[in-house]
Amino acid sequence: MRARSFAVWHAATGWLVVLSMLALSPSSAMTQHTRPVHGGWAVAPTAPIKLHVASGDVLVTGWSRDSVHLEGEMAEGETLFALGAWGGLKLGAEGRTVRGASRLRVFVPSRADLTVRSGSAAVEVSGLLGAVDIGVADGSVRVEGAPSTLTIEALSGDVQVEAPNGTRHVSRGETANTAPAASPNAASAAASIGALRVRTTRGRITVRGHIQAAQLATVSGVVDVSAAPLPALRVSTVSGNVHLVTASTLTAPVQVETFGGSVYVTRPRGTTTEQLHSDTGEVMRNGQRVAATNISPSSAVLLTVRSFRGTIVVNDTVPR
Amino acid sequence: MTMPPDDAPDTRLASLLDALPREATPPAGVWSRVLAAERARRGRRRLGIGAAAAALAVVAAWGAWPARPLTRATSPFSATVSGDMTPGIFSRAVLPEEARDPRLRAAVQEFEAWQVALTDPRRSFGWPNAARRAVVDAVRDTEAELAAVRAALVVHAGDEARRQILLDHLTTLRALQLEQLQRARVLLDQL
Repeated sequence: MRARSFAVWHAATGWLVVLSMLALSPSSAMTQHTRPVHGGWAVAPTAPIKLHVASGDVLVTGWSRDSVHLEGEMAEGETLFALGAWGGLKLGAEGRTVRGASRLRVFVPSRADLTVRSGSAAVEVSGLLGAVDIGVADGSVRVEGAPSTLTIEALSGDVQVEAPNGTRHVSRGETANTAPAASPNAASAAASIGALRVRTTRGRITVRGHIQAAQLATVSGVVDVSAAPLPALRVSTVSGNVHLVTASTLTAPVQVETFGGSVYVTRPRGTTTEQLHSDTGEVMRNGQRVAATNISPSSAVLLTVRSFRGTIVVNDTVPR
Repeated sequence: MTMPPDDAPDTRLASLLDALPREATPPAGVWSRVLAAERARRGRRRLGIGAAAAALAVVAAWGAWPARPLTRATSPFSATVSGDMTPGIFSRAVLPEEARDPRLRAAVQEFEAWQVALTDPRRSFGWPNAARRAVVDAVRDTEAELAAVRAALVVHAGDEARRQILLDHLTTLRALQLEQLQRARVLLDQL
């Protein structure tokens, strides 16, 4: 009898543990209630805006008004905070929450300087012309538009930068009339990113569009740059592969350094002088193995690719 | 059965004792041997408890000690890095040239500080697990490349020019590893 009651007790506690784990699992917690939030604050057109969000989805859009507007849904247990005044604003969600629970859309002046910090939020930014600085531990980052400077740091998340394909760089000194209006896409269509710095640990870095200068670094993430022309570019990886694609002749120096990662370059035939060197890997040009060249500093060399054990593959495209 | 008279209890007791089986009576000196065995058992038990307490004290002191000196003059690695959360993440097979690089020691100390931070829930509460793993993976990936360069150094031991290039690779990789750890800590502390 005692053995039977022990078996019943044992089974009951086992199910209790399983049910408790299910109740605490993220999928179950995702169903928790959210509540709508909104707020508005008047700020200067070039005011620094700092946004802190632990998790969820954050969409930041530049607009032509001199104010910040926030709307969306916030998880229970989180509270909206905002500190600051006309000269600058710090806002966001604080409290313990569940990943993916909050969804916020924030409108900021397009010429404001924006700083975003998040643990695991998916951050999207568009239509900004000032300096943008985004730091995310695990979430993904996507930036569309033409900030004057763009700095992104992510540990495990992917980074995607979509710059416009125009050639004019919009400076912060432009007046409100020439700055982007309600449509950020219309504003960024004629601009470019002034300086781009991206650093990830293992997240993929994808860059498209017109950028004047870029520094991209990762440990094991893949770097994928496609632009015409390529910007003045420095890429550094430990084990991540690098893909560079351009349909235009190089006009600015491009330097790539990897250790275990391979490098793939596709550019027009007869582009520039170049130095391609891999200590123990192969160097291939248009499917043919070629001898590695020695690397020596020279301002005349526009394409420098150096790897320790990665393969270097350069393919010519036929000029249009 | 006839009962003995009530006025003769000693006689009845003697007869009952005589009726007992002879082998049930303990032989002479058995109690002293039993008591001696019991004392020995208690002694062994006290010894075991003492040894267990001493072992627990050693383990507790080992885990709580914040910083330990280097195990050897030529090895910059403490037992924390090689033995706790991520065993063997830093290679012990460093070259003398690497051991002289202060960035190696800095990287190890930075990683130890990272481990300490992970045990502090007030500091690391908001750190996503994927980001934590990414930091450890970054150290591990860099160590793998460092090992590849070391292997190449063995192959090209007689080529001094090549050897110098490879040593430069070691320095660059170690600098990247240290910078990655430092930047990750700064970013996570901002969350």
